[in-house]
Amino acid sequence: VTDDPRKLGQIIDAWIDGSIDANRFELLSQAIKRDPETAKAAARRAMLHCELRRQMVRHVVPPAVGRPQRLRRPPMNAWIGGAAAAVVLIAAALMTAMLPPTAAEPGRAIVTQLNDVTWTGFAAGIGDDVAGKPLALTTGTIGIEFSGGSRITITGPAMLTIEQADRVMLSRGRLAADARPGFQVDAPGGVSVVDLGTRFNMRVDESAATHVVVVEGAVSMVVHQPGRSAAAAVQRIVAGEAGTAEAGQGITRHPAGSHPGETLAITSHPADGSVYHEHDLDRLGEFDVQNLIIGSAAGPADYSGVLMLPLPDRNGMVVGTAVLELPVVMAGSLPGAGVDVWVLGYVRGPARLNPRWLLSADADARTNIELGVNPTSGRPVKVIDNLIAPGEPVEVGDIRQTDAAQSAALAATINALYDSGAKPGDYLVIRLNSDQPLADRFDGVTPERAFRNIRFGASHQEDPHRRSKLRLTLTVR
Amino acid sequence: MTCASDETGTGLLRFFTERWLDAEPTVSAFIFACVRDFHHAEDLVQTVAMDAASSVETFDRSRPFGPWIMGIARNRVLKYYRKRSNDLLRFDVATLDALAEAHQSVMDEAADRRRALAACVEDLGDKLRTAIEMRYRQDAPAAQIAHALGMTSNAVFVMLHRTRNALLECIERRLGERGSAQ
Repeated sequence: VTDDPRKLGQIIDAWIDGSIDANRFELLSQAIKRDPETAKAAARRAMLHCELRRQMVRHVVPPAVGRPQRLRRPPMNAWIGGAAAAVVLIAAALMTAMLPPTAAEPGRAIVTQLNDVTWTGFAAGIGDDVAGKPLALTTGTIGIEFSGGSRITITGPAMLTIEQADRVMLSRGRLAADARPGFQVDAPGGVSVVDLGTRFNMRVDESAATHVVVVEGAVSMVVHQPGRSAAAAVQRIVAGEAGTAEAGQGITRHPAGSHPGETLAITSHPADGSVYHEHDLDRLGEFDVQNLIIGSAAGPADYSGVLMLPLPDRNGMVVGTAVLELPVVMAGSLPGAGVDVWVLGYVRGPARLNPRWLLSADADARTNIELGVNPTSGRPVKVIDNLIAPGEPVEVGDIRQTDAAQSAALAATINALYDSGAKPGDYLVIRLNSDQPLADRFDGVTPERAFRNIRFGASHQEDPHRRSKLRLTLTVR
Repeated sequence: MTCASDETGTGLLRFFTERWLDAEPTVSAFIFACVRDFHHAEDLVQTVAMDAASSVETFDRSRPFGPWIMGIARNRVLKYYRKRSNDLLRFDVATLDALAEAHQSVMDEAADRRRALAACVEDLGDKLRTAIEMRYRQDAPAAQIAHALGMTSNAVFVMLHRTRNALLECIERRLGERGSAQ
């Protein structure tokens, strides 16, 4: 039987596929021993098996002709060779433990930026080579530079694996890429995004759907599905366009202007709370373990609620809309006073309330410097007048939300802050205040002068669904 | 002295990395042909690389790297076999030696064959490519491939076998064309 090359091939395949029986295994063994050419044929077939494994895993888009060869690490999810290539790095560590890694060296993926990162499992540091490593972060932002020149920024919560010098598996989270042609990001469900020399933003949500927005250039979005050829499931997405891939749904391409962009929900930092002015003692103070109080309360004092919202990386896009969501956690109304919403500016961390931010008037002529908001000397911007009208009651469970015009105005103000120097990770300061002082009329001492205030949810003591949020939509310019 | 030592270390690293990356596909193919358990095979490849890295200082660089690394791989597989003496399907020493020698003798072809294979895969029809992708990319069992393609499992085995044959023939043809062109 083993003199027939085709029969021999069947036996070798059965061996490789794990379906061989003892008799045929013995035949194979005898043939390999007896004839060097048979042994070579077996070796070539074994190599074919290994190479198919490698090439299928990275098959999405073959390297362009003439693309420079790099020292490539095989993907970690390949059966064969992933560990072997990883060993190169281990061996390198054995022999050159003291050589500092740089992204310029082939096969490297160097951490270049860490902002407020909370890790789950392996914790990378600045300068670490994370090629081949799985990374999981619950919060914060990490920047990675690859030896091929591509750069990515990951925002937590996120899970990913740097598979090789120009390939990443993003299981969950947000990724922004400023990448060289051929850089590839894989996602669950057989989805791959291949960079054609561009900047793009990508998000894998909790349902494992993949969303891509192209900022510059173009990408190929590919979905691998059984029974569907790769060519049938490839979409080219160009600047301004977006693509979505969901399990079993293929790719949906959204032409420029027809997609909502990327949405982000930003919860106020736990340092949020209230600032106050005690009337009797003429004293300012902050209350960062309280909810967002607007009106009169203990002191007696006038209170303003302050949100501290960490600004995200816009990743080359702009804020299209900014919807402020304020869940009511204590019912009330403010007789003769409305509730206004002001953007004071932005501050760098650590996040901390400043009592000077208090206001119980309809106008605020102070500069940001006078308010202790850095670094601009501009003035606070009232983005909503009378979010709650004078005397209007609110009930627990209500969610007060900016309307379309207000959301657009808020977005424009936030974009202006970025343009004036605000960086990702800075805190947007939003104040909610009554437009009239109330503590002199409602001191809480006598029944007819009971405190009058409204409270929205802050982050340190409320369940997540009762915390105030800012929902941003990022769109291509 | 420190500088000289560093240069030696860097030079060794470069030497080892280059040779290992060239040899690793063949070493992997040999080990995966000898050891059916994927995880064990992967561990063995790692171990071979570690053995080689830790003893590369003693390697005579004037000699070919292939026989040396294949010798390490062969010894590691033998050790593995001894530890797992209850396994029914394992090659005897003579077969192992013949297989190691065969892999070593085709090691120089590996890079050309790899490039040819990439082009040959491109030429596969949709159905064959889907089957190959499912088998190798998704590690799908024959039954799952059969379900996806509306075939029986036996038919899938046959199709995979024929596809491999076709790919091998394509590789040989491309290598032959290249050889005659040169």
